Amino acid sequence: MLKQRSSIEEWERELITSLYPALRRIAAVAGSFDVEPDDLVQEALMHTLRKGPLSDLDNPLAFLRKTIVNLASNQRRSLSRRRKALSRLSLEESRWPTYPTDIEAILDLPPRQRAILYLVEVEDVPYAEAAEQLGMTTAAARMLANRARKSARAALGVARG
Amino acid sequence: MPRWGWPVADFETKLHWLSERGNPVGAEELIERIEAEMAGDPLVVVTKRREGTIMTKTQQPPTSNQPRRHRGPIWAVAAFVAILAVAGIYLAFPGDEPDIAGTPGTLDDPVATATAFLEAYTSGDVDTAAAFLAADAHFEAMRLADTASFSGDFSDLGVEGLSLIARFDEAVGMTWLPGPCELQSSTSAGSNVVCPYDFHGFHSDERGLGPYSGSAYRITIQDGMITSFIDVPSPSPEDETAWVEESWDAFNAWGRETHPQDWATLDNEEATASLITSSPDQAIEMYERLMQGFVEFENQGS
Repeated sequence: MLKQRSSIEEWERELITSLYPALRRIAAVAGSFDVEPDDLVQEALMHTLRKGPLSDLDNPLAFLRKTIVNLASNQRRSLSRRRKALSRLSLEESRWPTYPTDIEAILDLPPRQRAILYLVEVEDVPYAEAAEQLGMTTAAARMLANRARKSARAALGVARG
Repeated sequence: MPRWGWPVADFETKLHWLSERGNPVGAEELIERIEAEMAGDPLVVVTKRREGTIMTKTQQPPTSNQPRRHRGPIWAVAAFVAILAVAGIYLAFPGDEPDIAGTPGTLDDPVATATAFLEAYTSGDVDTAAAFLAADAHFEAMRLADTASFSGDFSDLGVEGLSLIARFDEAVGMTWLPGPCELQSSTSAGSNVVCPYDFHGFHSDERGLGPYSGSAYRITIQDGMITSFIDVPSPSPEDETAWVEESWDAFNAWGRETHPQDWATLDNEEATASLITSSPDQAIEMYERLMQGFVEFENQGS
């Protein structure tokens, strides 16, 4: 049930402050390049707080990271739809933000693949823990990560060696 | 040293750079923005968005914290045939009310909702099944290809993606036999329902084999609508072995010998992925044709 809240408790402020850097990083990785990571974090927090206090959550970091990645996935779909629609209307490509070509291979990956790769490769989070944070099984996390590596490798044109 | 045969360090650098992108507002200001939004000041929500941002407000519920069942190696074994995939499908459904006993959004009992949904889903009634899913419901199905370039992401296809899965299921002779659903837990994110099921694959029913048991659907329901649906076939270890040997291995052994031209594609995951993504109708026709030949061959000696 949704709860109407108008303020954030002090202990929730402290919790959000402590989680903010980690939440922002996963939002930056999983989110579309033309969406500010802070917007994703804010959206995830609003969504969660509307449902109740953060104390309801067994693992707030995992829950919020999962929510952020879900939101990023939805936004990716929405952005894609909108671009396709505008493309059909022959609007110029240049209307859309651009990003450095050397990270296109990563940005082309689905948000969850980006997120799992970031957690295990950069933050050195074990697969089991990363899987929990993204709401999937360890086996699924390994499979997604392997798929992401293969896709990125192919896109980067890097030969096995 | 590269751990997977490619320069991971370079990839790590890119990921790290990506994680630092944007203009952080800091936790304090973020909390202010959230409180302002709680207070109903919509202007604050967009003050920090960059020019060009086209973020949309969504109400995507997070998936359940409930751990999902481990997938066995079966689908990995089948990967080279390129019909297995993780399909992360986020569908925006119109919410049409189907003409059936369990009308979406009107059933108070989550088990009844899950049961009515599965009745439609497993019978290939895509439109009815779609009507049970909340807007932006998380729909994950494991099917089709696990390849380098085919992620199985049908996100942009909406109901058509659901239909595509149903057509592939029919083409390769998958039959789903759901059992009674059970309420597993209830959280603020919704009621988590588990529905065990058996399945026939590659027309195993017509070949006197199967069904293969031990799998379960994972369904989360909130306010009478399904917010998360996980469809990952994962039979018991014994049935998994039987399923692989009796279906995948047998199908491949038959096909490589009798249809080398088709298997030149099927043994090349990139070529198969390209076929599935660019010409799904052609891919479905191919699998349907091959599967019919396989079943006829299997039944010749019986």
